[in-house]
Amino acid sequence: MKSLSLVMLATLAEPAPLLPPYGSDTVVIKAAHVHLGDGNVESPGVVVIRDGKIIAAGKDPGMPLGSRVIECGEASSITPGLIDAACQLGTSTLIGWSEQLSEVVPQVDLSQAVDHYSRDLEELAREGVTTICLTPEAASVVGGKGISFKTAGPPAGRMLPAAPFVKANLGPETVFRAGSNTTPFGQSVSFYARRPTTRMGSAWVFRKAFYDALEYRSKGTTSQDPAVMAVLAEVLDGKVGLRMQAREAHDFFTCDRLASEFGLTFTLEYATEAFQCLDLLAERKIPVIYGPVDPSAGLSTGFNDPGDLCLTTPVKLKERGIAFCLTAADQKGENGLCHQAGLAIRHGLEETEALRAVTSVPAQFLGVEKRVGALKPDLDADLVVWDGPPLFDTSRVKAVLILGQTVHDPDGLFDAGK
Amino acid sequence: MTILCVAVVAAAAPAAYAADRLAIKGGTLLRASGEKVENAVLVIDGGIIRKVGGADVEIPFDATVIDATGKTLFAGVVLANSSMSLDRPNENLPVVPFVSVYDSLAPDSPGFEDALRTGMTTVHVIQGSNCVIAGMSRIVRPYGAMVEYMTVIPEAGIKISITPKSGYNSMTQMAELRNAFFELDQHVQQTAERLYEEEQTRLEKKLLIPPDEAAKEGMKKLTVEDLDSKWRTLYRVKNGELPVFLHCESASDVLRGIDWVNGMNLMSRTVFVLGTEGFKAIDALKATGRPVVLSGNLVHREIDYFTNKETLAFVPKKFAEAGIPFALQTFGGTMGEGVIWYQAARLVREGISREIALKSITQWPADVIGLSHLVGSLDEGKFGNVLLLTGDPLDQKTVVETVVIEGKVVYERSKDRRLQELLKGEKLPPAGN
Amino acid sequence: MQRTLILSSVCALVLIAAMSPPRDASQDQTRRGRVLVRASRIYTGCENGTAAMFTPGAMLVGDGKVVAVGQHLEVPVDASVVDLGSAVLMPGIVAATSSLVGDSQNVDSISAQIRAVDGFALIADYRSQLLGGATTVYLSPGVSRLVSGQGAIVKLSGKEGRASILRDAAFLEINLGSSSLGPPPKTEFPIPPSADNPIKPSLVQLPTTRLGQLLGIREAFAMARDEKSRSRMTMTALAQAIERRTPLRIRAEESADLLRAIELAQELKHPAVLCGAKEGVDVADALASSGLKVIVELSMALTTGEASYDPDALVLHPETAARLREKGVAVAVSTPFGGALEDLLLAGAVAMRGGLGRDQAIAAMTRVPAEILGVADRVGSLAPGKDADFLVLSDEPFARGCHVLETWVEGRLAVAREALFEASDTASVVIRAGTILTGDSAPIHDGAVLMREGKIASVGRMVAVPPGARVVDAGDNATVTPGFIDANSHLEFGSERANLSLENDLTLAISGSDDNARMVARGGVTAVMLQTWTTHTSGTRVAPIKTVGDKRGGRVLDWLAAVRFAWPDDFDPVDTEARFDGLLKAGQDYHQKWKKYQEDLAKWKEEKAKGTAPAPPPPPKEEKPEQATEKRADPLTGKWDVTISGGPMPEPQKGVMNLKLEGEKVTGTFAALFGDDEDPAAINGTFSSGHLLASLEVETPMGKPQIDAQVSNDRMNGTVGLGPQFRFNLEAVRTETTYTEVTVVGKSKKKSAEGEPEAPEANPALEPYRRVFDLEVPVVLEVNSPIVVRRALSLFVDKYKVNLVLLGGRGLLSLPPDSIKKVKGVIAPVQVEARWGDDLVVPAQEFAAAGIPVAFQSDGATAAQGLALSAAYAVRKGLDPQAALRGLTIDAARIFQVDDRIGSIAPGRDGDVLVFSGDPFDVASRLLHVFVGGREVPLKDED
Repeated sequence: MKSLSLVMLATLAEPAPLLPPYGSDTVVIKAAHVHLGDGNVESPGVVVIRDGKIIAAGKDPGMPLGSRVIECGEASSITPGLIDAACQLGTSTLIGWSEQLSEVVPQVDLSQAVDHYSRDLEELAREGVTTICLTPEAASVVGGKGISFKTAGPPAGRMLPAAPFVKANLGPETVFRAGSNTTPFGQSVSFYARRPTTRMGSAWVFRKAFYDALEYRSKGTTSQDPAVMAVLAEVLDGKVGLRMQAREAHDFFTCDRLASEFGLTFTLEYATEAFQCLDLLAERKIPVIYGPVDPSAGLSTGFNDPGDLCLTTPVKLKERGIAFCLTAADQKGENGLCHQAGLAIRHGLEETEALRAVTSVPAQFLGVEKRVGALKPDLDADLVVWDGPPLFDTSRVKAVLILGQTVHDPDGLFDAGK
Repeated sequence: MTILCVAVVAAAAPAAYAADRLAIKGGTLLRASGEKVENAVLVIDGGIIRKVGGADVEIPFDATVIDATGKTLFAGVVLANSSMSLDRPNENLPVVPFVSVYDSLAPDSPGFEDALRTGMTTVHVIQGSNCVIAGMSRIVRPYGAMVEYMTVIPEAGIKISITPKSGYNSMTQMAELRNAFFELDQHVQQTAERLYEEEQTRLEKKLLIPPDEAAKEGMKKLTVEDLDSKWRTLYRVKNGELPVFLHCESASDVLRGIDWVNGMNLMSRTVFVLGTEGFKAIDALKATGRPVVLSGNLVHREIDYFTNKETLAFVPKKFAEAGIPFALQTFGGTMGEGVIWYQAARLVREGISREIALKSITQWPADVIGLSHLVGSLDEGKFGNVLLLTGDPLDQKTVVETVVIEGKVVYERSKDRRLQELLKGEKLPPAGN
Repeated sequence: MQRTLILSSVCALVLIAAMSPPRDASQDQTRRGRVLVRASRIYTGCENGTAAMFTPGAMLVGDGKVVAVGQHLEVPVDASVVDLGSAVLMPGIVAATSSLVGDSQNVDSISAQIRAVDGFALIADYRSQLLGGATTVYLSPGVSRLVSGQGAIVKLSGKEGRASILRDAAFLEINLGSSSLGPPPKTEFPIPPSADNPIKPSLVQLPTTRLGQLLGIREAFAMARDEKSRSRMTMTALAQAIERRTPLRIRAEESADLLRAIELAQELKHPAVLCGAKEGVDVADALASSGLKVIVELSMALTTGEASYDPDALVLHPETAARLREKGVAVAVSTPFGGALEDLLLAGAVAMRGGLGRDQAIAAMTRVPAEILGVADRVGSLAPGKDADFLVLSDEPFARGCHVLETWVEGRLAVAREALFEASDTASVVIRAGTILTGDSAPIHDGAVLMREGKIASVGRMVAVPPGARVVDAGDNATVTPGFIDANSHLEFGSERANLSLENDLTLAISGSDDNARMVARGGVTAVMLQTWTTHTSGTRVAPIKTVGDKRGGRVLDWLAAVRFAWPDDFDPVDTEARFDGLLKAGQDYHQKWKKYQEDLAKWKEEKAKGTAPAPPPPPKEEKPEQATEKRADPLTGKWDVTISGGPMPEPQKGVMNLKLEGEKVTGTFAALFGDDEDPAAINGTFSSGHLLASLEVETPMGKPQIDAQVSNDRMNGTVGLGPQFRFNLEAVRTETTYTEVTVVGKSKKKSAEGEPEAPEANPALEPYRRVFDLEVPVVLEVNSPIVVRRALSLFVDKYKVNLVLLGGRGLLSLPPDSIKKVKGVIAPVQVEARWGDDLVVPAQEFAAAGIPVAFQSDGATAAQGLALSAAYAVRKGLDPQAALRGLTIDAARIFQVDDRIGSIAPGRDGDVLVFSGDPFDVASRLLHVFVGGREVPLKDED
């Protein structure tokens, strides 16, 4: 190897940024293993970042580089920042994001509900979850627009230009989540009570909403709230994506039926019983955001009877070639995304697959793969440094970077030279 | 201690728990210390490990042999403080030394099923901490159809809480606690007095001495049986005949607890069951030299009043650094943080040595419940509680394959119907078909 | 070796240590033995008279106790000194009432067995109470039972920094009045209940009315005295209390209750004190004659309810304490049960509002309660032998804006407010002084400055004193000014005689060891315009940096303050002018190019937004700057055969370099003759006096490879630098003298997405010009002779319309007045006094008089520490003080266009403030405090 021929340097080359980076310095991070997020691993590997972007990642050229070199130590590994595609944390309160003014509220935008300073986000960042998609709460049949953002760093730069989507719920949540189906004013259920009280009701609300939307699209006028109809029309045009939250198998079929009725494609959220209808998911190519496994439930206790829960679901999804990622929903800390992936590994999913399921795959689902989810040039410098194999119970998060800034660095790994 | 041993021998006798002669060979025996015996042979007879060693150890001709090739042999996990299978962990009444978990233990409880699944072989079942003085506890094997059959130690100790029971504050809690022993003394006094009077009347003598003299005389003859059943357990506690599991949630509770225990002269029988903040009184704890049980929640969170910044402390690390042995506990479940293996792995994650992590779920809890001479490690003369693991105990993918309790195979993963269903994701045909 | 300088300083960044942490010296000092504490005043809490107060005060503390206290004390050899400056000391407050352990609502109406000490958390965070002033606290077991239990006395901190218990059973608490009425009915469950042993109906307890209260007490005492009832713990506890003569603490608020309390105390023949006494003023005489001591509880709430609809509403009388004291009653003042210990000082203030003198108020919260609680032997006053518990106050006790800055317990700093609030990044400082020279606007007399979060929050006659604020009262003679600015400093370059061309970012030179900077800061200079010792022929950057700041980023005000040129007299003016013209032209073109690009981009963006993306605009055409100077023999242009060797390179590498020289600008390509890399890389750089400085346009993690070579008749010798670590030898021979155009493929140009305009190539060497021509930064021209000044004005100002600042430039004064107006300012020569022509003048004054903004320079590395003094000297020599101040502050800031950050004392500006003992330009006056970014810079090293 030409230990220092300019040729090799040219491989790390990239076009100069628009404005010369005054005062900004390049940081070279070396670790025993660098997981690029696309399934490939370089050992030993190096990630080179500057101005919040990754400018190179790959093999360690095996020579001292750059003005600042961070050595993460042996056995250490670097992964892209973890991504939760269906998170339910980061809002000030539950009230803060569960809009119940009607069963159909696709026009509400969750970005107003985010509390960028909430402790939950701090904690997620500490655990290496650097990007989350806040998914609408399940109280309405057709919920609001989900949004994707970073869990730390300057609030200005946190929002991500994710593909817009609205979320529908055809599971029982619409019934029990919404204040045990009382009206928003707390009156008891009556003939006038707004909400659907059964699955049939939910389906009916969904169907009606979209028929109205079709009408609105053809006629251009509507008796319904035009703001609502406008959004649904965009969904019909495929400009806005659709997510369906459902946990039980038969709900999946309902989802699929309704979707195909309006020629819609959708992503399935949570999907606890996905393993029961792999055929459906496979042939209709329905992407799945799977999880979380309720960790507090003992195998013999808890609400799930055999047949409702399958520990090897991720493996099964993988085998059937169904696109899936993992989510921890409202779980964090010991039961957070990292542990969800850990459980998947424990029950037979390959480590690389598990890692993809919490990095590059969710990035694609959210349509932000050009920004996050992998370690390659031009992507945001969001990365996690582990002191062992990533996602393992025995591995600790040594440091977390978002846009090149250290947001968690207990060992002061990145302090040098600041 | 002697009392314990007697109880133990009684319990260990095969009568209660029929164990056959068993040999395990071919596996890699791993000790908490990290020491390994490749291709180990383990001979268990009468529930007790008779021989441990390499391939050269000779296997009795009539022993059932388990081939553990490719497996890791590890000591059964010991749980030092658990309200497993109790329908309700706490009584309503604040002072109930007269109840016993015996009456509430449910051998068929799913909790025990999970316990086996995760490789627990010795469980100390004790009431919860929402009490002033709780009832008698019991050490069991998580296997068997009857409590008697499961029992290892029938009367293992009692739970006393310094931390206020719900609806109490520290002042009323302590008052209630002192009051209980005050009333015990009253009762003992009166009983002793009565004994003396009865004897005098039996001997048709006159009662010439004042009551407290009489009580002194009576005390000489007094036995536990003379007392009202309501007071017997507490009387034994007071005399230091039973271990006390002292629940101290906050650091201040620890100091208060230490004062009280010293006042009662019970330190030698005390085990501290701590909350997450306990580490702040670590010096005081270390001075007592008594074992501790940590809370299932390993991280202490605190929000600074002035900066409103949250600070986290990893509790076991503090104890590891202070050199105090501790027992981990679980709050059930087989997947979440409650899982004892996960807790141990968590220790390693935070930079604590593997040895400490492994001891904190075997040897040290055994110390805590005073059974270190019988469980907690794979040594000759101890109970034959052995786990066959698929790999290193702390590896992400390792699972418990077989559990042997006192020479008897009590769990096999392949036959764990429930688990198999969950792995396959389908209901299996009923057993026997 | 300019580059090595830059690089080494880059490495130095790695070693930069954060600034020294907030002062916590006192702590280690206490460990070291005895401490002598000095303050502007010490209240001892002792009897009125000589010992009550010392101004100024000194106190010697040893082993947690007060050793001596007085006005001036000898400093013993083994003692370290803590000078608390303007602060006021008083004894730690003895809070005679507290609800720290809550209200134990035990079922028994008579709960003598309840002990407050059981509820006390020995390990807890008491910082906020300590900052309220409480060091010793009485723990009440509660107020809602007739006999609520036994109270205790504790200290919230101690030698080891941990709370401790002084008395565990200090008082038996009796509560008369409404709070203890109607205790819950009592039910005792038999275990197990049975026919012979049924659950009895619950029994109602006394007192249900006020009548029942005395009855209940009498009953209880009678029972306690009777042997048989000892089978109940509460009675046993009560009996023990009576035997031990544990004093009673009787709570009574209303006048009627107070009278009954007195009655009870006399009847039981048992030592007692009263507490509450909200209506004590009505029964002052009765209280006086009873001889009982009284704890008066005062708060800001002057009534307990709205009298109009709440007939029982109590009216609190602030004057109670004063009135009782007049009558000779021993009175302690505290906050009420349930009140916050954080408000203790307010309670004292209310007492003063009611007529109590300051000394008396202090005593009523320290010594008297200590006596009443029976712990006066240890706490309550600052006398020899007592515990060294004291408060460091920002002002006279109970005065507005008086906060506890520090609380010391047993000679140990228990909590320092500053430290806490610094921890929360909201450290605020208030500086009071006789005169405040804001730099920009009119001076303020008897004013104050409030700094918060490193910025100036407000300035004026009165400013808020937020909690946590550190108050610096500098006195009437003191003067506050903005931090001084040195318009030309070589700080950070020390002895480095570097000659850096225009492409070098000076901020990178800020080094880790900021000793020099600190020295300068202590001289009152809080910001400098960093410049190299010598000016590069292609120009040199000027960087505005602060002298103190945490981390490098904290010190950089901006990456550029000005571009500096030198126009020496001895040069041929024509030639030099041509050279400058060339440079400026190139800069202007570059600026134009970028300006156009950014306009195009903006337009394109907006159209894209509209959805009508236009066809790609024609790429900006390269108009070559025409040769300014006449063609000289070109030593560089042409083909060079290059050999790179040395360093970690296994074998020498060969390559071909293709160079082209225009003025000083060097462009060209480099093609390696090895490997699979056929694409040549571009070269950009400068060439002056046979010295080639160029960078290879290849992005590597180590930055671009830097060529640095000497050229003499067709031979080139030098080095290629790659990051700090690598240096390779470079040798080259010229093979052709004509430049052959080679298209550069190696650099992948940014793809122009759907007609997005293409960015011009960025050139660090020209980048500064963009800001020069945007008039964001001036050009500093080192110049002197009148001729040169005239030419300079016409070239820089008339032709290129840039802001011009003259360094030196005495020639200016010989020009017509209107041309003077053209310059943005002048940086006065270092010599305060100079001979111009025949007459001895103060140049600065000359310029000032002519109405030109002046700035001052030290022209040294650390010489700036004398800048203030030399200004004072100039004033002495006749410089107008206003001009001097403006020149050191706002004018300098304006000249370099950093006046939005520094140069004046106004809300929003950086907290860079100087405090002088007097007139800043009075040579005799000292610098008392220096604040940079709102944080004080210690004027001498603490050790």
